[in-house]
Amino acid sequence: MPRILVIDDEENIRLLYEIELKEEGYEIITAATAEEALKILETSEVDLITLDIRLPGMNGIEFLRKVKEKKRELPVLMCTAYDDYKQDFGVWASEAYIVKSSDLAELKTRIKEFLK
Amino acid sequence: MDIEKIQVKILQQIVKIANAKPDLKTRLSKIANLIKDDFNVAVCSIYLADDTRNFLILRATTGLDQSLVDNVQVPIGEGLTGEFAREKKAIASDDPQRIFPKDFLPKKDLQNIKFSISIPLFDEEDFLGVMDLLSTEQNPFDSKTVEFLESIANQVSGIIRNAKIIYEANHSLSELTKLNEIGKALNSASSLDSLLNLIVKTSLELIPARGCILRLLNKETNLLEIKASSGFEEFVRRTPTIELGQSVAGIVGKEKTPLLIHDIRDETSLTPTSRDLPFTSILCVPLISKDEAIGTIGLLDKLKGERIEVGSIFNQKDLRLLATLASQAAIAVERTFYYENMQKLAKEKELKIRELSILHEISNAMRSTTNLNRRLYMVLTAVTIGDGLGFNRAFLLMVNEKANVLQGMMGVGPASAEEAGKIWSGLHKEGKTLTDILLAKIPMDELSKSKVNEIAKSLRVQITPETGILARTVLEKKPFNITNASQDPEVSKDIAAKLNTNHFASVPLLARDKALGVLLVDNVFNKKPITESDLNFLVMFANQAGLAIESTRLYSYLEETNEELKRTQQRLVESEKLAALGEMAAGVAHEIRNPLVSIGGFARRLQQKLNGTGTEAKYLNIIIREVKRLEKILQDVLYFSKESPLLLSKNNINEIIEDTLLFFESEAKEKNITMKVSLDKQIPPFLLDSQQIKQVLINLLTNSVQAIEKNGKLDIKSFLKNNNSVAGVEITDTGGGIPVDVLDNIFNPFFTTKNTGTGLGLALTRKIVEKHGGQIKIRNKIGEGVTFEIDLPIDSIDSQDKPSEV
Ligand SMILES: Nc1ncnc2c1ncn2[C@@H]1O[C@H](COP(=O)(O)OP(=O)(O)OP(=O)(O)O)[C@@H](O)[C@H]1O
Ligand SMILES: [Mg+2]
Repeated sequence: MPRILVIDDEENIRLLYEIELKEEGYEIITAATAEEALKILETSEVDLITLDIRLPGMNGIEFLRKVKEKKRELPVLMCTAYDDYKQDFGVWASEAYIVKSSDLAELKTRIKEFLK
Repeated sequence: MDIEKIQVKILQQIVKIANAKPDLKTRLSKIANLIKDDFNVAVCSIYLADDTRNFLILRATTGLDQSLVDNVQVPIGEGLTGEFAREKKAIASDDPQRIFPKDFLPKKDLQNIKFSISIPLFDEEDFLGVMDLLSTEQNPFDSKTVEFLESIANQVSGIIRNAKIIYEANHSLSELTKLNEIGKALNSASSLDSLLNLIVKTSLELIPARGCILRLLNKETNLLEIKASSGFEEFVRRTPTIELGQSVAGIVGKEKTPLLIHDIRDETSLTPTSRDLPFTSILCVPLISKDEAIGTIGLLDKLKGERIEVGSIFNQKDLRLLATLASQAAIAVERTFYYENMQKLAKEKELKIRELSILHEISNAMRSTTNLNRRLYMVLTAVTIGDGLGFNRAFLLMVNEKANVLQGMMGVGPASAEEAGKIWSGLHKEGKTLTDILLAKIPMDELSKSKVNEIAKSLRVQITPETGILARTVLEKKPFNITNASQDPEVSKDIAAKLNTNHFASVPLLARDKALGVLLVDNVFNKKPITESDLNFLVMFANQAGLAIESTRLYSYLEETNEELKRTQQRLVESEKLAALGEMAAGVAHEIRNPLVSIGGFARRLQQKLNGTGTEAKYLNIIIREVKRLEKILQDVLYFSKESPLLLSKNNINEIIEDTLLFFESEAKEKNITMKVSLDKQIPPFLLDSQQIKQVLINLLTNSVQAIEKNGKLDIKSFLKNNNSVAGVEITDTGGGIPVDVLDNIFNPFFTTKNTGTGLGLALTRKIVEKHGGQIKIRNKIGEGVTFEIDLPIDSIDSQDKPSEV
């Protein structure tokens, strides 16, 4: 079963993603901060990451760089409320940029693309 | 330095500064401040290129003495500037000698500088200036940081470009307003002297300069004589005249073309004394009347104004402005000339005092209005009124250059001999003077109903020599006196029949050697013959009238342009408001979007669980729908307030259309809307932003589907036009069309007639289409439906981001 790491500081969103994505047949791990996520990555293998940008402490762009330095191939989907970062070259390293929506259809299709 | 930590913060702050209200300079110096602090450098300076693109001028700095601002000028091409202007990227050096501004800055400010980097500011191809960072450390930046600085430079370029556009729009508006006022003032000057002085004064108001000299040509001596001036008294006294063909003014007068000279001291070939002249730059334009130069206006040494880019030399825009002023001035000069010469002429031609005073009264009356119709009416009234020229009927025909026809516009006079008698005696009884009558309101009703006016409007002649006397009046610019119309082979049967008179005169209305039209008069009722001296007087009058008409045309042209500019300005203001709104929206977007995702997301889950039955499901539906709406509003507002750059790639427009239509299939079926799609497969793939174009199509189709409600037709077409240089997409619906009062507003942001609309759909659509360099057109049939057409240029993608779009 492919494993997804969901990083978001909002509990409700973590919960929503977890339930919805589990139903799609994935195993879900969640993290509220980038620091926590880095720790998880040290011990567990994951197949894909969904990543919020605005996080307390280390932000998503920094996290993205750190992850990509080690695991070039690991797909990371940026999921953010604010699509202004799209113009920031820091996020270009990510596989996709999705503006959060209550309709998770887009998120699900993108994930499917990467976990075929 | 951990640059990534502060990247986001810096970018956000820059966007904030960009959207803030203060003037450009304050914003630039805020940015300089920010960069100096956040990148920990000793100096951050911003230099902007001047109008001429020859110099970089220091416009903002932190770390250097503020008194240097506006005073440091660096020639472009010197040092590294030439290099990076070509390469379009940052150039760094730890060898301070290599970096250009050094020699131009005080040594004491540069003592500890070990490193310097210059980042060019570009707007597309246009080089705007440079951002300079000086540091006391050796090589303080890694390549990531430099890349980041370049993206900041991009933002700064955007700020400068926008400021320039707003400035230009405001500036042109005030220039045009001034020109318009000037035109009116010139028109009302009473003596030649006061007129000439007024021209000098207004030229200087329009384009501030150290001096202005107005010369008129003396036709007998072929000398240009100074008739009015301001500044350079000594020079004026020394050289009161210039021979045609000599010196700058002489050449301008002879060649009848403007001259713009940056530095007269370099132009020894123009004038041998050029080295000793008390001024350097010159802008000189001819005053042209009847295709001949009657004089020149020259401006000397442009003064610096308060501008974003200060250029101390005259530019092409100044030239156009002065030329426009000159064309108005020439008309005014000629007319005043005309009147002043009238006294002389009166003696020569033994003109009666009465006629002279008529001309005077008429030209005064005409000055009172700038409305073309009124002036035309005055012309005709003056010709027919007993106290005026006293002809029975007068017809005015105007040249339509495009169609090359002479078209009857207006006719004045009684319909029959009895009516004629009544009118004339009536006016006498009322004791009205010519001026009274001329200034009275136009009896438009009566006029348009009158038989003579009907006849006038039915006159229409092709302007070729074969069509006879009227066309020849225009072509040969001379008067004709016809005494036997029915037998004259030069008078067409049609014209003769319509006029129903044997004896008439036809004179050209001339303005600056161009025939604007024809004045046709007759004495059909009292049968008084038209004498040679009648004709002379009529010619003189027609000249006057021609000038009056031409000058109203200039006004209306100016006024149109004026209106156009006001609209542009309005849109600028609108977009500024939106920018402010967007800034706010961007700030709260994060705060709002996350809770919306949770509310909507869980509501959707619940809906699935409940399997869509019962009232609960209905309530959930409402929550989901409303959340969706809020999310759309958020997206639209954010999109609108931001400069979303186009992500261009070659795409097949037909595929995008087909993709988009998929969204609408089920809804169309449900509402019984039949879709007819015809796509031109010949359209080649071309550069466009597929996401944004998709958005455009979605917006248009959504509107159409909403307008149709139920049972209707949707026609979607794509095609090539303009020699295959443009791809068109047309969407036609049967939704009843757009009411007139709504139509004017549909592109305004937040305008909507729907309960649940945001009113951003079409505003966004227009914005996206214009960014692609395209156009959006509407054909509206009230009661039936609307066609929206978008035209996208296939290859001219570099013409995108037009200045009208801010
Ligand atoms: N095809 C059409 N037929 C009739 N009226 C139209 C059509 N398209 C637009 N309109 C009118 O123009 C108005 C503005 O349209 P626009 O798309 O900008 O906003 P909206 O549809 O009201 O809201 P939004 O698109 O933001 O949800 C509409 O409210 C409607 O009155
Ligand atoms: Mg709409």
